[in-house]
Amino acid sequence: MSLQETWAALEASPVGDFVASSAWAFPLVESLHVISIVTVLGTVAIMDLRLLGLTSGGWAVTQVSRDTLRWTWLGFACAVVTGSTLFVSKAHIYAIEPYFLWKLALMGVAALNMLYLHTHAWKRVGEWDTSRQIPNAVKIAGLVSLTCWVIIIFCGRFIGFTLGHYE
Amino acid sequence: MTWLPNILYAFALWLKSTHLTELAVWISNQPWSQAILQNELITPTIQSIHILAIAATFSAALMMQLRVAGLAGQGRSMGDIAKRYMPWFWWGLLTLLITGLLLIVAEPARELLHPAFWIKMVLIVCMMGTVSWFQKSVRNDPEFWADGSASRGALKTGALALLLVWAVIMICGRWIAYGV
Repeated sequence: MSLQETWAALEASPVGDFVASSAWAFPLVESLHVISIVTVLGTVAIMDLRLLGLTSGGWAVTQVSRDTLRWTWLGFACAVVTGSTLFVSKAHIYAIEPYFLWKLALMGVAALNMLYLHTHAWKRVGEWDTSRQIPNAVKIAGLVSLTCWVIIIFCGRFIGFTLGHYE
Repeated sequence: MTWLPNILYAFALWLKSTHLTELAVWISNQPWSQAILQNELITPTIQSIHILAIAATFSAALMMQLRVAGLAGQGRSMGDIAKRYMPWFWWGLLTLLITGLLLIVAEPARELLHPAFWIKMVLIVCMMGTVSWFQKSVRNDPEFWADGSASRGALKTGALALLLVWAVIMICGRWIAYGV
């Protein structure tokens, strides 16, 4: 099955067809997507700003992580489900939309960044957990994460303005 | 459920019959309104900043509500939690006000004549009132918010119910982009 055939099959699927033809499904799922992504960005930012030593200075890094991490993942899971639902309604257009592809690429960068942080500096979190003096590698990871997610939000919003160019 | 679209449609017709229509026409004829529409990148940029500000305000509120519900922020007093998140709530809201006004200036009829816009405004004012009350109450009456207090059950329910109000506010916000 070629990519083109895959996109066509997704659009012809019950979900793809329903979201594309219903008057209210796309706006509603899009709204749920916005609720999900502001939860992701907001909670990620709380964590990243702590890693940068800018906020929550009196709280341990692991404490801030316990406050936010499960809500970040819950928001992310909802964003993936709602985002995929929007995708299948117009799969062949999203698949070539530059802002959509940038958004996916930056999510890949954010994932690698998170993986790097957790397999390296996070192993010795006990040494800087309660400190405002954060190792530079951790600060850079926080900055990369925050930058990626902010640009992802911009890309997501710009998709809505450029999608029509590819129809 | 046909009553809901009917009421909204009647609301939209009523909005159109008010002076808001003339106001929208007047704003859209101003050079500062047309300036925003000159470049097609300006509106999505303002909207993106608007979403970033929602993330700041909503996540600050979320963390405070989860603390009240006992689902985050354990081990710290309500006062500590409020001190950390309240500035982000209000500064985010100020950013939302500024970017929101710019979006109204750019496309006044789209916002001012849409029922969802006014439902959203009313709910935001209610939310601001609730958060202001919380802010004052935490400062003046810390025992009321202490973990063992008699009011915990009702406060937990209220904090979680407030999440639904946030959801309606954001759904209304996105709905403005679509017809009634």
